Amino acid sequence: MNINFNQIIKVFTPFLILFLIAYLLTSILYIYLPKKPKINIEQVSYNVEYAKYKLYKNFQEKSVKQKIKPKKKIQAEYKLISNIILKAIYSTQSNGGWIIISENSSSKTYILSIGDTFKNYKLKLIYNNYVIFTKDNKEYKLAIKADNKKANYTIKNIENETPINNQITQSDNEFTIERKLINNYSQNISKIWKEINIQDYKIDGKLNGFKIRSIASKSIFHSLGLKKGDIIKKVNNIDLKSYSNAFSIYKKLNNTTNLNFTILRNNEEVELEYEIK
Amino acid sequence: MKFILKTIAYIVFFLTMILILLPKENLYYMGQNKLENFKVELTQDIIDESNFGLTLGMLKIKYDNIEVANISKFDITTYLLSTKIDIKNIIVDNAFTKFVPQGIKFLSISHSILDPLKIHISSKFSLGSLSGNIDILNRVIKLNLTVSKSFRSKYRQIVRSLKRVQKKDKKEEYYSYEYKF
Repeated sequence: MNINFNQIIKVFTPFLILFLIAYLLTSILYIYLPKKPKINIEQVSYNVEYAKYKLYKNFQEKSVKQKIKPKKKIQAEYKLISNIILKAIYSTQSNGGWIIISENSSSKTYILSIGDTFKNYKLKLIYNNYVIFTKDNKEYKLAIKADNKKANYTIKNIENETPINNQITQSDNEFTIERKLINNYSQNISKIWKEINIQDYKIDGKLNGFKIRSIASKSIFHSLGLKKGDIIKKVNNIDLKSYSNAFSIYKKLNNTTNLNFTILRNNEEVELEYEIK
Repeated sequence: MKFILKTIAYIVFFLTMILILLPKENLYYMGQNKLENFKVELTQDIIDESNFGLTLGMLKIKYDNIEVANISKFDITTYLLSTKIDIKNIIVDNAFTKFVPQGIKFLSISHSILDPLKIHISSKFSLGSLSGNIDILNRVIKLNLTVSKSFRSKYRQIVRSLKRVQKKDKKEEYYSYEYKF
């Protein structure tokens, strides 16, 4: 078999030349392109975190703040827990141990220790005469009776039992917001949008704050003293001149100890100040 | 005829070689730098260059130092006749849930030389799906969304900005969105 090398070279030479041209072009491009990603070193902010310092307070007698204790909601009935009979408790000193329960409808008994779940009720604590179950953020207290015929039970809500107004307290002309309330909002932004409707406030086409279009009457914003038509200009001394400023305030909410609003109300600048505890 | 075929073969070969030899990773770095001028910051944990594409893993997108979204996999593949971008698992920051639905499982953007004036988009998210296109000539984005009941109640703000359309058999309906740029 005769191999015509001349013919093969003739066919492949143009491809080789094209490959070299492509290689040359991409190499030139490579020279001009960045070789490594730009490493962004996070800029350390030298701005002092906004906080209210009250030096004069050190020279004053400390006043005792009276907190209004929220009333515990007790519901009278609950089907399943009422059907459980607490037969025996074996408790330790550290509220541990195990219990024996049975259902009214059957003679079957169950042994539970702390952390065990019975029909979605989680056993939380064991005391000498009663035990605490939890389910759906509610606590269920089940007590033992001497005759073992019927157990006492009470139910209380673990969360959301404190109205917003009770979580914002006032003493010595100072307003205090409970940290729990702030955290609740910072972790759930959709809750904020449900309770307040804001709109960009622009001067000469530039963002210069946010105008409140509406506020829900039972919301934290209403309790904080914000009103419909207010223009929020600053929060914690940060001008709301960009969306990023607004979001950076929102992101820092969990760690901030003071909340300060500078608002424009009826063309007058008003300051609202709160301490978060 | 032979000459034409030869020329086409040379062009295809040359373009294929260019695509293979292109420093894709470096081009991405250039894109990264360009986006920084618009306050958009991209950072990734994994970068993988292939013959015809680039894959980025654990991509974080920040705008003005605020984390906007996390993407588990961003894959761009380009052949001579078509280009495709596949994005998997987009997690948008909680702060933007009012405007963008959470849990976007998949987003695909594709362009083909057979339909050069349109860029096709399709997406699947936890509560529905999306399909549509970008008309380059008329500068119009057209999107059709098929969403579940829970989407409608969860993202009322988004649904309000959409137009409700009923299919011909009137059994199914979808939402359409049109934007001119």
